[in-house]
Amino acid sequence: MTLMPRVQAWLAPFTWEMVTAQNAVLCQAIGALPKPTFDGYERTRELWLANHLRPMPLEEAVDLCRRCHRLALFCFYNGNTFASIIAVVIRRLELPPVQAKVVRSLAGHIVAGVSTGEEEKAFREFCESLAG
Amino acid sequence: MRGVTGAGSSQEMTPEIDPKLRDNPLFQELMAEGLAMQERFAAEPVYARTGKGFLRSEGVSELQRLKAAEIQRNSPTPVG
Repeated sequence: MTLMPRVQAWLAPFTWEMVTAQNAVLCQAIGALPKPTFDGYERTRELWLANHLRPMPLEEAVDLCRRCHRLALFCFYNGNTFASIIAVVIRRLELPPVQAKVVRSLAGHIVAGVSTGEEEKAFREFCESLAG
Repeated sequence: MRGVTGAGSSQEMTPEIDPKLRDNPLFQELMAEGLAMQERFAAEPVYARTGKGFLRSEGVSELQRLKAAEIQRNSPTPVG
């Protein structure tokens, strides 16, 4: 069992300002203008602000990032905006290198919306191995 | 945060980022992560449109490298 508690305010450090700035950086990297979408931006902002400060199990934090990705608040690069947030969260777990790589990959696939049932099960089992 | 706003509309967001935020170590780590994985993602909101996301495979070379390093670390040091 990993001693890191399963329930934490994993996403609390990631302010809304940081989320939107991250998307701006990613867009600028390819010369695209960062733009919010008409229907997704406000819904996602509300969802994030209502939840990101709250302590939650790690799997719920991953799912919140996945839901925000799916709401498509930005015109471009919604996926890596949220996948990079979860990658930083997983890095904070300070797992052994191979396990870190696997867990990061599982979480990234879930956020990206490409995970298989097996990957979701494997990630759930990892979360259950956390303390608490 | 000065810029990067534009809630609820299709207007452009102001692509200015508060210098304080740019200097924030967490944001710097986040930017590095996001840029490193940029090529694996489609720019367009594929997941919202289709219900299935898109992610280019990362390949297994990095995982193989880490596993090899771990095996080497865990193997007993040869004697003599």
